[in-house]
Amino acid sequence: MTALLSTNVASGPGPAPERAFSDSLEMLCTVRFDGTIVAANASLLHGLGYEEAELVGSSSLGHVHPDDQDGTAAGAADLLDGTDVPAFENRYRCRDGSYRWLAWSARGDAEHQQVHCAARDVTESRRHRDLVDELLAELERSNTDLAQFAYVASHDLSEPLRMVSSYVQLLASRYEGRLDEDADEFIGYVVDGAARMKALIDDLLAYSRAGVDVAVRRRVDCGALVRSAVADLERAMGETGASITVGDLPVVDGDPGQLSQLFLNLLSNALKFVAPDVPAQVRVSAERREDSWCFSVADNGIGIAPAHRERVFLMFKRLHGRAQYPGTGIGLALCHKIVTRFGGRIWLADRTKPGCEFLFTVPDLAPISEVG
Amino acid sequence: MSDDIQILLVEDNPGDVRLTKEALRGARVANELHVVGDGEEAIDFLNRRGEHRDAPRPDIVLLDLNLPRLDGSEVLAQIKTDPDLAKIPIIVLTSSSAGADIQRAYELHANCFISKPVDFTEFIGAVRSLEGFWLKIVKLPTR
Repeated sequence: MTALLSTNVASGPGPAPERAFSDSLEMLCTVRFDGTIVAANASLLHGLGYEEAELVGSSSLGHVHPDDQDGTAAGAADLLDGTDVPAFENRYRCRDGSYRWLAWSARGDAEHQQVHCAARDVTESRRHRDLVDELLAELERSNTDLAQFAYVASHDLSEPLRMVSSYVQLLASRYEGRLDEDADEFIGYVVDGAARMKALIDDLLAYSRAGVDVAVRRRVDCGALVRSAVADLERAMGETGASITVGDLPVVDGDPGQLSQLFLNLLSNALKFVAPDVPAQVRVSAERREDSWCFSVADNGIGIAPAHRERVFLMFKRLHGRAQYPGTGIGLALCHKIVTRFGGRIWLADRTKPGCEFLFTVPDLAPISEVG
Repeated sequence: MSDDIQILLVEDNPGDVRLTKEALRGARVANELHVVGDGEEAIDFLNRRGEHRDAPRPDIVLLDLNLPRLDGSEVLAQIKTDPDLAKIPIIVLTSSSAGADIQRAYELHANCFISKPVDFTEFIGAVRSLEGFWLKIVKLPTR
């Protein structure tokens, strides 16, 4: 009854509309309401590997993967009702027996009791999507493991550490004067080692928590936050004559605990890494950008050579000997982790002035409806 | 009945028990220290059960959270929900400084939470402060 449309029929000056069907790069076909394929264009035939005679005249549903047949039949019922099916995916069997995922768009033609369909081969993109999902799940598992490990390790390491440190100190005080100079020296190394280990454990804990703790979202007055951090550092500053100037800072949406840690780390670094006998001068400021605030913590310290500007943000990467400048080397890695987690960027400014300028962005968050 | 302040220390780590004893040495307020090694024993002591039939009633309890069998926070919950024992001040003295642990302890009505410092002189300082505050300044409930 229906003429096969794959025959070229030239009529008039331009190509016949039928050419749109036969020559289209899209895979097209026409299927009767009873499920019989009545037309299939070259792209569809080529895409699935069939000769025309093998596909045309056969049952469309018969080529569908057994697991997808019910869904396909349901979609077909919609079409018969007059509902368009803009996107439907199923597995279609190719000539060689393999299945490809096809994404169909179809419209019924009740007058002629048939359905016009277009298909896209989405096998590859589905595979990519599945791979991405898998990788994301794996990454999340791995991150959680790591965070848990860091937490458990640091938690359980503190206790034996306390035993070592406390008892060596007890020994030292109980036997003061009764041990020789060597013993005093040895005890000194033990106590020092324990103190360093404690600092490391605390930093590891902070680092692991930054990744796992649920991020809180509040309106944070950065001016007040930074001034509070400066007050915390007062003791370290008083002895050296250091000064921290705080410019006009904005109110942002963020996690006050994490922002506080961020500023504290940057400020204490600025105070620490100065030349001997040079009082530290630190300046905190902020600048508005298109969709974020950009904060700056600038100091007059010993600076960081261009070659090391990225390395410093890695965990445990220290640029100086412990005797010169103490520290675990986690501080900037923690800052990097915090900033990355709220979607910002942190980097060292490229500048000719001596000292460092750390810049980090706090992106604007999408507004949320006010909660009572 | 002794007039000394009765302190119950619930701590399973012998190293920590000894440290606490050392820190309490030379305390200015006369005190008697009782030690139990796990949570269930602590409950028995407070209820004067079994081998602790003749136990004195503690004026104050130092409680570690990390205990075998009955967990420290379980002990805390049981004491603070027992009308007979609830008014005894409980000081959680533990290795943990995790925010969640601190929060939970206060939610279970711990009177205060102290993280044991790594440095021994700091630990002595903390115990002295405990003593100075809870045993001298604070008025404890009568037994």
